Amino acid sequence: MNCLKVLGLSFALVLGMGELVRGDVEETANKRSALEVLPGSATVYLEVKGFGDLMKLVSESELSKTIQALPQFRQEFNTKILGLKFGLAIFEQAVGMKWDKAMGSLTAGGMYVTLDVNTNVVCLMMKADDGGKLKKIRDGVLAFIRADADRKGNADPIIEGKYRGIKTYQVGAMGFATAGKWLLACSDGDEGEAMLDRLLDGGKGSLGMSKRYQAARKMDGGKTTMWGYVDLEAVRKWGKAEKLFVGKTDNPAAEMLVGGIMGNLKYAKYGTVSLNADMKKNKLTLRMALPHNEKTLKEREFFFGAGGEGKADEALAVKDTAMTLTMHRDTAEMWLSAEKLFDERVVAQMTKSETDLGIFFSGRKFGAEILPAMKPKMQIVVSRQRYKGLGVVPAIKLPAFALIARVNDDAKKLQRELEVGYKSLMGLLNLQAGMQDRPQFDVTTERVAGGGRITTAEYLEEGEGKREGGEIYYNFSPTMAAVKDYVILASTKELGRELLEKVMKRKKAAVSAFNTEMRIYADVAAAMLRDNRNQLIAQNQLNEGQTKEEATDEIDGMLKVLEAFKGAAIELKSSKAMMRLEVSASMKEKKVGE
Amino acid sequence: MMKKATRRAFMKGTGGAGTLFAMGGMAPHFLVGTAEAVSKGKAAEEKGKGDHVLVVVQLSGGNDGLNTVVPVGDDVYHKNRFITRIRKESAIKIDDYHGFHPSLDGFGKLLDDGRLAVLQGVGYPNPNRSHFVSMDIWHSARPGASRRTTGWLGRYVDGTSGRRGKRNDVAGIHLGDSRQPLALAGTKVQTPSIQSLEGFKLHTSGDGKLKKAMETGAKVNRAGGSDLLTFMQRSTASAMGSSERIQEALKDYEPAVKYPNSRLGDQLKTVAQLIEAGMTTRIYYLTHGGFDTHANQAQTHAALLKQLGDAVSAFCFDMKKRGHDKRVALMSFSEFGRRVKENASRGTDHGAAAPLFMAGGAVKKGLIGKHPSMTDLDQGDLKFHTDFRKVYATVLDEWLGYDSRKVLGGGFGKVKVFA
Amino acid sequence: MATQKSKVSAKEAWGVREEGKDWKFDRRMAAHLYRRAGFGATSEALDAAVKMGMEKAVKGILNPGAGEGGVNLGAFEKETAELGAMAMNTGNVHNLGAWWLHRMLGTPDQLQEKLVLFWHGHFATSAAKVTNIRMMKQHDELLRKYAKGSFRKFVQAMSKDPAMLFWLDSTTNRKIRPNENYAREVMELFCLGEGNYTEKDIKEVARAFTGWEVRRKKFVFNKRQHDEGEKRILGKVGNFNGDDAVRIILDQKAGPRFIAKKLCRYFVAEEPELGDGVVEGLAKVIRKHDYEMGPVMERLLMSRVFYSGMSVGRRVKSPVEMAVGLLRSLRGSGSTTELDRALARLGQGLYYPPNVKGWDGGRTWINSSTLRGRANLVGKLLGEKGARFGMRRNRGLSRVAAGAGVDGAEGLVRWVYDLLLAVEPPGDVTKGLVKLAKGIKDGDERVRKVVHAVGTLPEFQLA
Repeated sequence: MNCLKVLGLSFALVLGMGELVRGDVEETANKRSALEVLPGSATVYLEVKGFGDLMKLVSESELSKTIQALPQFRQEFNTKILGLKFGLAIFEQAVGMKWDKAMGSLTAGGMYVTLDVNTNVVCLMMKADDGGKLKKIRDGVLAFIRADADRKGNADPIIEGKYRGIKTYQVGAMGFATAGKWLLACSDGDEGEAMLDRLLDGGKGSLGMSKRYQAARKMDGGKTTMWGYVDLEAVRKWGKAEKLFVGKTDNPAAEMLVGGIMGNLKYAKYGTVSLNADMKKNKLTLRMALPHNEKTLKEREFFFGAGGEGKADEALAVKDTAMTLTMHRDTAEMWLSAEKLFDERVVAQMTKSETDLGIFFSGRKFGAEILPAMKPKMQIVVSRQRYKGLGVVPAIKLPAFALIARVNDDAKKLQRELEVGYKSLMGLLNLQAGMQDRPQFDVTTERVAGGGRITTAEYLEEGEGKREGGEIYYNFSPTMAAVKDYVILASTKELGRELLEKVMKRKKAAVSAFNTEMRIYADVAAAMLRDNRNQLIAQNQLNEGQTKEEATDEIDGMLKVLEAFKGAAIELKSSKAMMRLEVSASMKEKKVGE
Repeated sequence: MMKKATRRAFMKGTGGAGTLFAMGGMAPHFLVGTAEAVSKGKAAEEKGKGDHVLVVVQLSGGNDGLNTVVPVGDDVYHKNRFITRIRKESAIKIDDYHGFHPSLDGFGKLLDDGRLAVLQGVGYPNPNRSHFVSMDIWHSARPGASRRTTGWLGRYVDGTSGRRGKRNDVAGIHLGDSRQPLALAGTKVQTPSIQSLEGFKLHTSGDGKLKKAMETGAKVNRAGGSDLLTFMQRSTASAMGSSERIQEALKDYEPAVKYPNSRLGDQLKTVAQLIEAGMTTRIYYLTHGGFDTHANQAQTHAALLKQLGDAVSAFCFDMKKRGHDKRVALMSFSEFGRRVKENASRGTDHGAAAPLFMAGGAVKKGLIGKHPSMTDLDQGDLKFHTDFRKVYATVLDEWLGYDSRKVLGGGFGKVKVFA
Repeated sequence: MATQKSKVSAKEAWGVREEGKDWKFDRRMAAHLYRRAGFGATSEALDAAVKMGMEKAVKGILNPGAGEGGVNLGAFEKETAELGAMAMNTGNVHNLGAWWLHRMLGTPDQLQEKLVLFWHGHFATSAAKVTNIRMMKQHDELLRKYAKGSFRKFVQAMSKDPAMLFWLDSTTNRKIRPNENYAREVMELFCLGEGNYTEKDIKEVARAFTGWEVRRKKFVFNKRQHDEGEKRILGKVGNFNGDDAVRIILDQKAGPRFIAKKLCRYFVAEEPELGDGVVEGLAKVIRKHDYEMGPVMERLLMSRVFYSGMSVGRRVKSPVEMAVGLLRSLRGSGSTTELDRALARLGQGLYYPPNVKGWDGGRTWINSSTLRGRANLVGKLLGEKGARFGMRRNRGLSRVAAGAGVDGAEGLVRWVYDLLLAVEPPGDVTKGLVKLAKGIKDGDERVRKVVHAVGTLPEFQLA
């Protein structure tokens, strides 16, 4: 009788303790943050806080619908999407919830992933909004997997286990466990157990404790839809992604645009990446931040400016602007450092062009004498042409573009010299005009109020009256203008004049908040393409071999997609400690009643 | 060693079972027949000049000969080229009077190794100082003609088109963009312009069965077919064969020397690979441009000469290491030289006579002919003493084994440039 | 094949071929006809031709009212005109080449395009020198206008074509120093051939063309520069102008013979070329119809020699014929701009003939480099992403074959032979191809690989 009682009591005790333990686990788990659990050796970390938002964006936004309606899209992805839909339907059946509700529920508290490039271990954590729902979903999925295996005549693929009182499941390479509202998964058994340890005991060796992670978070830890961190030093050590860290581009144009970023990637110890979907503003922003490094600041001083503080001028914009790009770049410095930045072939090419350009500058060296006389600020403007008041309207309508630079205060004479060089160039083009079947330019210089000069080269006209369908070279009436310390080189008279007026109105060169700032205005860009719709369709027929209907569908589809956008921007901000690059695209708002 | 490997591959391909062509099987009788015929032909060719190769590197724009092979021992030179001159201390010494431009250490090495001939004072009567006309003259070897439609090498290729034999590799190849140089233009035969070795590959999307079907299709004897069909079958088989050969050779290819990182270097490396692969192509034509240095000559000229010297010497030493140097000769010329007196833009203007270079294991090393007089000038330009057609005649008769009179329309005498 | 050996005497060469014991107008003969008179035909077209018989088929080629698959000639012309205008806008002559290929692929009037290609080689004028795209287009339109028409009017119009005169450095022709360039070429290259005129004739013809100028890219007759004196041309005396000179030149016996020889080489046989006796027979036809190309082509395409062993398989396909023929017979289409580039690499850049003699043809198309290029182009045309076979998107090669009633591996190989080859390959080759076909499960891939393999056969290069 005593033995039975003892047994029974012990049994009850154990059961009771079991209950106690289980309740504890849930509470402890719910209190933990992912950063206390995920491994500190992670090379890449990604957290997604607004997963639901992202899903909505992909499936419900106007843009998404437009893209899905495109014939090319349907052709490429139809079968894949059907497969996906089928898979989702099955999932819904198993789980008993609509897939988006289920996902929303699962990730309400965020989704967190890490990857270690050296060991190839992936760890994943998701915080559900409710522990009960989590369990339901888990059980549903497990049941489904078992039923499916059974149907196929296979053995039960799920290996169940227990670790410190927490049930674990292993399917294939991944191991899962749920605790409270948390779902944990890991592709390595040992690491998985370590995660559970940290969950129960605390964050020793966790990501949150990593100094590098902390520094990254401090540098640019945003409250964005998605945020990630990369341990660049570890990736470099891994050695399989050499292309990212080459530190140079063998192309002066690319070097001008992104050289600084490439340089930074070579040395930075860590970097952050984030993606934010702003549903109210209909804007999607991708951001990357890297800490500055002494070596980078020195190597790429021409790019970031002294102490990383180089700021561009405020962008000039005119009517029908399609794109503006304004930068702080010391081109003279870049030219001087050519040997460090480019390989022999490019340097040889640059040397040769310097000699060639010498013709226009009466023997003066472009890189060594002309460039240093310019301020380290430059802008490019691209606008749509309207061809008002012109005798010949070309059949293919190209945009007008302009380059705006500024000369040093002690180099005002350079403006006149550039004008002379420009006139020589026009003269040379005129001599070649006969051979190239073009009419000649009529070059005129006009003085404008405020001490400015504008020189235009316009095609001499043969006939009278307006003519449509002209040759492509009628898109150009090269213009050079100079006023104050500005030098404007434009492809058309209209743009040149507009910019000149804008510059004259400017009181003082306003400074942009950014080192590099580019803005694209989608409406205008789309209008520019629409201007050439027939040409694009015909070109598509010849280049792709499609019939007229097919080509029309494709071109019209692309235009629709472009017109769904409002614009895009690329902004590079630099300070002494770090640089931050933001690429954003904003969509048009949905019109009421559409 | 690389040499042995390719010989072995050749043995495989020129006799009996286990040829390169048959994939995992025995070679049927008719295949053996063709293979044997090919090997016989090759043996015959190897004896004579039948396998000599000429690589032409054209320097476009008018290379300044005076700053290439510099008369450093002549005061008149220094006086006329005050800014653009090469000083005696910087020049690479050839002898007391002559020196190479400091960038031409590649040529210096070749000369020391006995692999470079420098023909001085090459040109033609009534020199034309227009790029297009003078280049056309050099290409067509017809200074007096009003219309030039064929080139000297094109005429050579036309003349030997009957001798192509079973292998039928293209007689000449132009490495560069698609515009064929006039020098290679003929009336009968087309010489292709190839950008890279990709042009030699036969694509089968990696499908072995397809490849086999293609090979069977090409190799089976067309008994009773027309002459045209037989020609077509042989040409197809040969085209596939040479594609195989090149792919095989490229698989094991390791450069014996390091080629410089420049376009010319890459192209000469390609030529070396093709020669190594056993192509029976006779002529390779390359261009190296940018020599029209009217202003600020110093840096540009130095860069261009460096590329030339490094690439040519790499190529010649590569050929030496692989045992081809006695049958490969490289000729480098420009459409004219430049004026004795420099201009006001720190450069030089179009001139007339200039040096011509011949490199390889079979050339007579050293300077050939005296340096043109620096004082007895033709309107301010150096006078030529060796007509370029003499050089062409020597190349055609002694190197390529073809009657130069047929190509040049007459006899022009010879120059002792081959040892 | 019996046909390969059959020979025809000079006397009987140009009579109409009749069906009989030794000859039937079967699929192979129909394929031969469409290959030579145009750029190949689909399997269905071959069946239709066999049904209607040779004479009707030839008449259909000469007067293509409603084309295949219901493509109306008028509608096609309208669409390609729009496309051509867009190509012109780019100012790039290579786009014109792409446009022409588009025409060759889709036009119901195949003979027209084939003749335009023939005349383009005959009056070889290259855009390498005539860089102005409008001038080249005008020249192209001239070729199209007279391709099937009166050769007399053709030459007279060509003598006033700005592109031609610019190409031959004949944009001025002064009384005091007549420009002999055009005079020489019109006799040597266009009408008579070497040896049928004297140097004196050239000088006199040059005098007849004095005052013929090109100003601002347009033809102008400058009366002040015209030599009004008496000229002696090829035995005729009078105050001749350019038009008269052309008339006299074409009246020569050598004229029809020269054109007949070219037509025989291009449409009937390149190797071996037809003998002088046979050529003379066609010259008589040309003389009879006074250089009207329509009736001459009709006679040629119905003739005994055309369907004999002297003609079938006796030509080398030019790169254009090879590529366009492959696509057309399989209802294919693809990027014509790419194709134009590829064909230039194979030696046939449209609008860029290599020299005044045009393209020599025959064996000059063939060397190891071009053979590799052809084989690779075949592979590319078949496997390229934009390549479409069939009338609607995504139709696929297997459906084209199925639509033509192809069944089984042997059937597939035979079907491809019918469409693409003029000469039957040896049995071992066929066996190898059947084996290849049997080893492939996927329908599209099977057809593609068989066509690719056939496209590398030596027989494939023969027309």
